[in-house]
Amino acid sequence: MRLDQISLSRDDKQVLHDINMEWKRGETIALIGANGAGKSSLLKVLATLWKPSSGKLIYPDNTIKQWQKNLGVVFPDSFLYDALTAIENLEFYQKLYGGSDRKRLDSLLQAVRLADVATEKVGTFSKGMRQRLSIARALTHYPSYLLLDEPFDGLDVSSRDIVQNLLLQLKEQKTGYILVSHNLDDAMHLCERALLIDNGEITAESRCTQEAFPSFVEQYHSVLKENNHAVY
Amino acid sequence: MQFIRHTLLILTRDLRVEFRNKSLLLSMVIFALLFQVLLQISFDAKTEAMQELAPGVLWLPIILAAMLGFSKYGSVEKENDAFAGILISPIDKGSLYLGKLIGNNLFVLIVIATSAPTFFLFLKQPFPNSIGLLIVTLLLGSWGFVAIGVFFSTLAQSSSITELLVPIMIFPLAVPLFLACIQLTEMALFPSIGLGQSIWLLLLIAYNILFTIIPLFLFDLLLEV
Repeated sequence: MRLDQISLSRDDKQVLHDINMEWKRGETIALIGANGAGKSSLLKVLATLWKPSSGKLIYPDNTIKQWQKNLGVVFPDSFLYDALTAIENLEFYQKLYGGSDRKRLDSLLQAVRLADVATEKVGTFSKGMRQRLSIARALTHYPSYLLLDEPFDGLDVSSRDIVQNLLLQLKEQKTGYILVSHNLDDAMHLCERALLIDNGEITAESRCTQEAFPSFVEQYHSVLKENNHAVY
Repeated sequence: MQFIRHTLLILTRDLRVEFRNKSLLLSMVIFALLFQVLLQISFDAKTEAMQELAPGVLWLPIILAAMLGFSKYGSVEKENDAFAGILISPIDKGSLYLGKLIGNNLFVLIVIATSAPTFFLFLKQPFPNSIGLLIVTLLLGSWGFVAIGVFFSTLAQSSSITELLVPIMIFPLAVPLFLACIQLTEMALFPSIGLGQSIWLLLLIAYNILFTIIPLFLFDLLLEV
């Protein structure tokens, strides 16, 4: 997947400026940036939810439908139907992508530790359970690429561990993902490459290794200071 | 084949959600029944003037109950931004339209099945002149109105003023449909009037074809944000 000079304007505001990036199959990327830097907007463009104002998206198989088929998305909103049960939600989304594999759904529910509540309505679920189910939903159709917009947001320690382990498994299985997170430890442990986005531009890039990452972290902190954000 | 499968998937999901929530259909039926009774009381159904008013009295509660349905229509999709989940999926968005159209039309048909008998209970002339024509008019009228309703409700989905936008967009376009429905209903109810039946029927059929086919092809394009 390649982004070539992608710019995006929303409500007369330039949100993304000339973004160039490449996302290889199986590659895991952390997208780091302050609030309002353009991380979620970039993910929405990649998810085909927003059309860029200018620039080119070059899809791996050249068609948008094929890209959509290969893509799983976890956004802050879960896309789940409260009136349906966990398993009904997964079945619906799997069929939407042309699949029908009950075993896959059962194994996903087990992976996110929701097998016991598979037949309960999503409306009764806590935020953590919804978030885990949302990740399972994104994986029903064996996507090769995943977009994860702050998947740890609002999760307790145990839910966080479950999601982290799942992402590590996906990384081993060579499922590529872009992870938006404010937590630099997550970026370091779960991703191979990190991109720093500031005011809609990618301003720094680093491998997530012990040697390379500290200077990236410094750059991130200086961006936060410039934008008057607290640095922890 | 894939298109039909996705249409049925959207339809069954909508019906399942409605069966669990029971809020939309129930409010549509109760609204139509109450409005029907109020209209009958207001216009004194036993008078001769009712011959002119009857088609409107039959259709108004159905149309407004359908509008109530359209305004609540988006709530299922807006919940947890599920509509975005469908937009980013690889389905032909025409199947989303058709699934929604069939589902909403089923709800409106249930409204008709409860509202129309109430209408005849109050009417001076309890049996229509042509029951066949009346049924055809009700079926075509309901399909056509729901077709433009679903079309514009979906397009207005991302707007913060959906409930205001939908009637503004629908009513001007629905004028030919209303005219045909009112004329045909009058012909079906009373024996004295019977001219131009085939023209109105043709108009109604053409309207239905137009507003079923066009959105099917345009949906993919129009839903690209």
